[in-house]
Amino acid sequence: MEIDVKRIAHLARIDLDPQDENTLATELELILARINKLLEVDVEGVPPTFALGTQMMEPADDVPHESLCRELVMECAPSVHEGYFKVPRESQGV
Amino acid sequence: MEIWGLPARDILKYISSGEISAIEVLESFLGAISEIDTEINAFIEVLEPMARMDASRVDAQLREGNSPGPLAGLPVAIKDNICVKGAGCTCGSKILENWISPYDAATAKRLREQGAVIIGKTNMDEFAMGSSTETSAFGVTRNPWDLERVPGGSSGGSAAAVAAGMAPLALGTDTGGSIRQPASFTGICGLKPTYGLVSRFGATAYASSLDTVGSMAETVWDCALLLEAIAGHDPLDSTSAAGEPVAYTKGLQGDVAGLRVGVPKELLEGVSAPVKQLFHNTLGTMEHMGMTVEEMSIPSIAHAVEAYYVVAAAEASSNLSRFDGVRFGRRAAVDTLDEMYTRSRGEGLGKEVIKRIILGTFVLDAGNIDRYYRRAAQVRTLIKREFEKTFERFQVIVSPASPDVAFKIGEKIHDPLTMYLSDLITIPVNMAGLCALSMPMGFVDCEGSSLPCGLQIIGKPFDEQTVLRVGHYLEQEIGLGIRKEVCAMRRKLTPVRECELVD
Repeated sequence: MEIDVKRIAHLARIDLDPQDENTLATELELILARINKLLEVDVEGVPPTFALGTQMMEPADDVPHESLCRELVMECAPSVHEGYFKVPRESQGV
Repeated sequence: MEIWGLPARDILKYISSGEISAIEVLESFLGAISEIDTEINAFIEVLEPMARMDASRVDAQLREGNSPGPLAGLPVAIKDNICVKGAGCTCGSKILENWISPYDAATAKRLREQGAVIIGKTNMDEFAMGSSTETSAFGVTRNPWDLERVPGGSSGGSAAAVAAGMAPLALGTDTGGSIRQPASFTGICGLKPTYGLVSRFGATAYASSLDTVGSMAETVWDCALLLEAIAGHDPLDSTSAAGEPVAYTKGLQGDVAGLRVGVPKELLEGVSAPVKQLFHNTLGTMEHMGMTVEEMSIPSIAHAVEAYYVVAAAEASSNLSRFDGVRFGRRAAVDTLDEMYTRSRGEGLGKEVIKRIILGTFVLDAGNIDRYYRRAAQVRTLIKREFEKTFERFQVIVSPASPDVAFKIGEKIHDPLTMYLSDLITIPVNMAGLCALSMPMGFVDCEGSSLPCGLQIIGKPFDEQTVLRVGHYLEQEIGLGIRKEVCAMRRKLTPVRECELVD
């Protein structure tokens, strides 16, 4: 199986220049060849482990607690307008 | 008396006896940083004014007869993916270059509450993706034992800072070996705690089901002290385990005779001959101390690296989607929303990070998720089960902490597969959610340099106490010789300063 780097980069919303695309495709092919060894393992009937320690988790108390103050959060943003995050228009001319 | 370079335990004694103040301790370490770090580049940011305020507060508390806490006046370096309020938190990335954290991570908060002085933020592979600290956007960190070599990674800055004597304690994070491998490369101790023991709140997520925050220090006792300070349930981290606090430093004295030690043959594959020799010498020491050492097998370890790179990349692709130029971090100056996402990420993220996000997006893609991601999670179950079975027979499992000593800067950066495979020994511990300590076991002569090399002691979940105890006992046997080498290395780095030799 090959990786269509251009399509996957679009899904991941990452702008790549064509030269980087080629280098990345070569490196990823090598890595994927190694990862394909997983297909040789017999996992019939084995449940997946997606997370660890779930049996030790405690539900949080259902009470509100102090969160970060809005002004502080907004100070971290690249652009704000009247207390909201500001971003460019979805497309030019709209 | 020179304070910099002393283990934390000795500094604590001097501070508590009133022989020296917290501010004098801090100034000694700040002086060492200004002399040494121009060559090493362990720190991304030294927090001088903040640290001076914290140290002065500790001194004031001591003068008033109040206890500042068990870490009173101890400088701690913190990896730059752990938030400290009012300080930068770059994660080694351009995308967060100018971001200032508005809050403390749970671990940073606990350190401050217990009297520690946060001295600075340390260099790392970008978003903890790397094994050499070469993927940092802020330059490579150099190994204090040989400046042409890497300190390991991703917590290479924290490891180099402790090794060079610029901080007695440091926090690192470990997703696939990022505490243990740099500890091995730099001749210090590093403890990767059990998943869930230490809160991840405020530690930037790379792979959430694998990430852990742990302690790095020159000695096992110091590592235990730092773990004691940061461990414990945190309601702000939903994966934080419930449980009573453990006094790890007090438990170091228990007996180790009679312990059964397993040596999985899979963890010795690919280990260099001199490292293997040192490892076998160490096994001999363990037997001499009354432990029973037995070679055994954990077959599923053979697939751990492949499964790890699927799981870690998948989780990374999801976690790093937050860096899109909207709420924080770097934003590309463009006219449309879509361009803002793609250009902010394309320009702000480094090549290794992009590679792993693309790989993660690929394995989660609709046609691939069962073929790769689900299968990797099933292999993870096999690994976990085999370790559980192994721990029915053995109290600890040991191996070298890395297949070889520190490699040269640039040697592996263009060969990702070789770099990934070098994590083979450490990755299974994260996949199974175990705890493990890396501690120095000796030195290997390599092209004119004497380079340290670590032993990995793996324990079952939440049995850090046994792992630390075994490490502490071994340190009594081999620690003084290692300390002498450390002092000689530091004298070479800064000949004008003395390095105290303590027992």
